[in-house]
Amino acid sequence: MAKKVLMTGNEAIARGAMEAGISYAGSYPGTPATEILQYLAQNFKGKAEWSVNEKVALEVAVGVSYTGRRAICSMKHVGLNVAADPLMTSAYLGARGGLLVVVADDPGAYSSQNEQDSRIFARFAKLPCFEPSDAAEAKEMTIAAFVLSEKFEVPVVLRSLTRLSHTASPVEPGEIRPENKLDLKKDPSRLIAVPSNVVRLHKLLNEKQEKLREYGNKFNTVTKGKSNKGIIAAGIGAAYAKEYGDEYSVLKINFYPVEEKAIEKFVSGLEEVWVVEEGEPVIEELARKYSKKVRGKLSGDLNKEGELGPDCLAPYFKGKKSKAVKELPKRPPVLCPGCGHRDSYKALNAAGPSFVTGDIGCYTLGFAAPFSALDTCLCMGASIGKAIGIASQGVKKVVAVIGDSTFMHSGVTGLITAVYNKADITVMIFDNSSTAMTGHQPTPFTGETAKGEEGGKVSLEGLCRACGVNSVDVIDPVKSEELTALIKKRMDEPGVKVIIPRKECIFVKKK
Amino acid sequence: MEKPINIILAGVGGQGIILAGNIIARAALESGFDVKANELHGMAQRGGSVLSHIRFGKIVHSPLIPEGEADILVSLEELESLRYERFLKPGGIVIMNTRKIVPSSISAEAYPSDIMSSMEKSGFKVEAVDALAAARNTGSVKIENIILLGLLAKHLPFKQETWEKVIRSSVPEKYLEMNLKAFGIL
Repeated sequence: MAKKVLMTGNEAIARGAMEAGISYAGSYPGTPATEILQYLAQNFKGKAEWSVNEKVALEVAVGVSYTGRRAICSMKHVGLNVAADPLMTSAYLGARGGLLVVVADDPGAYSSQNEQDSRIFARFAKLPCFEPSDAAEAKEMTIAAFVLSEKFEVPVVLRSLTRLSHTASPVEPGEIRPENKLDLKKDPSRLIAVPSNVVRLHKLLNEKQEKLREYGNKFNTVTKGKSNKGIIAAGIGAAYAKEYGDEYSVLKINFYPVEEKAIEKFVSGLEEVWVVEEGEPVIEELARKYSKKVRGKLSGDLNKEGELGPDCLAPYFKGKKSKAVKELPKRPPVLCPGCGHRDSYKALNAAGPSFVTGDIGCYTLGFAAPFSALDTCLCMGASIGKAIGIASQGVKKVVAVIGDSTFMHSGVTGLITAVYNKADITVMIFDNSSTAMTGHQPTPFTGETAKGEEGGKVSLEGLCRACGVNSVDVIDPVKSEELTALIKKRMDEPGVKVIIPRKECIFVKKK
Repeated sequence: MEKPINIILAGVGGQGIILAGNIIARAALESGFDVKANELHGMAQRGGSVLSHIRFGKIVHSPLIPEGEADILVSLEELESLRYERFLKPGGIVIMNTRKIVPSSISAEAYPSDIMSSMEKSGFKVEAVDALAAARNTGSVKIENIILLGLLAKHLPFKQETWEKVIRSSVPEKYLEMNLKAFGIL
């Protein structure tokens, strides 16, 4: 038996992928999923790469799967929205080499713009989904997911959570399986999603569902207790349920689609059934089909928003009320001292824009005091589209603020749309030469790969010009007055203007 | 030990909470315990409030400590001790750095006063230390975290050589002597 080591959920998933014999790992940084690819970039000898966004990362992984080899693609929950297009149809086309899509959800939205539940996405795509409850299970289920993916020829989803991804617990490293042999085959009736194929492929996918439920039920386990109260707990929910003692029976769900017979059997004879699941009431809905004594989110007993955590059942099981959180001065994160974004926001505020559309990254912190410089923040890349929309209604001096990495992720298509439709907007690309918010990952603009090697390099200003933008300025934001004057001038000019305040992130500089 | 030992680590981004949490968790594993160590990061370098839950024992289930069940709160900053006080069990121990870092959201005058005595009044056992001054004496302001770990160690069932082994493999060679001194080993 190998010695146990401490691994976070993210590290355990990455280690599991290595042990499963992957040939490729792809991702785009996003808390709480970032460290999966980072671990692989450091420890996996094969290819581990950042793509410019989750959609491309998944498409690359799908390509690897077609060669008969195994691939993992990891992302945060909202990243799956970006990758939804390849995800939905890859479910029809299926996988050859094992294909695992790891999605880390963020209940409580500790570092996210929403609390969406990836189990519903997996259900929507009709894909099997694992939900481990600790790091050791995360490693095991990652390996099991690759086996399942090849057995049923489907991509598999693994749902993590902030609390799983970022909790370290003991894991026993295992042997690393050799990678699959290269075996790329043409198979047009299966690999080409055209009308003449898709209905038949959809039927094949539907036919897999019942078999998946049966096969996956071995990952769901029951521990019997003496009480006539029972808990159905999903993934990490089982760890919370066990805090309440051995007297309660627990049905631990680690696999979707859930075998409903397991739920039916568990609830029969119980006086009260609690459902503990982070996110939406996915299991609770099922349980209510089989028992009238189900309590959870739908019944109004547990919060439908935010994180449940270990105390969610305390009022009912321990008669313990949550302590009122003391009113104390908040300590929000702020832009670092010396950060170039500070100078850029100072200059932007002084220029007097009418409305500023923001985006996702460190610079989102500019929404808060003392800058209060942003008027909206929606999702990756949305600053430019929203600015086009606002300006289209005749509003002058509309400014979009977006970071270099986010621009590459999904801002560039917005910029092309702006040029094409002759929008009158000023786009400020805050260039700190890093994906800083998630831990300073390199980007195509820095030309360094995930493994720290020299990659191809893309010019930001060159890309903007190639999109058809004729007015592209690059400026050091430290020259605040000069920058203010420039913004004022550009805001009054017609058409699409790009201003790039460029100052390397102070932490990248230190490296 | 039936119930796990629960430790909350709190402070401000940049104070080395994540490293301190790692050291405790690894020392627990080395000592043969089950362990779960949760950290909330992503904002760590941006001056936000940072919190870490460390639990070890025969078996640990939840990665988060239920409210009112923490045995010890180690805090690198006064206001942050107060913020996470609700996790402490009645009569729990507070190891507090008497350092005040005024949040950007308030003026220095608005910083709560008498935090230590307020926590003592709530029935907690407060061990206060000026870790910043001690850190300066040891050679670097950046090792407040290790100074507090040295105090925490007195309450935990790990051998000195286990701590030493873990610290040795956690900090760069050139800072090792300074860290061992701060911890109280040298």
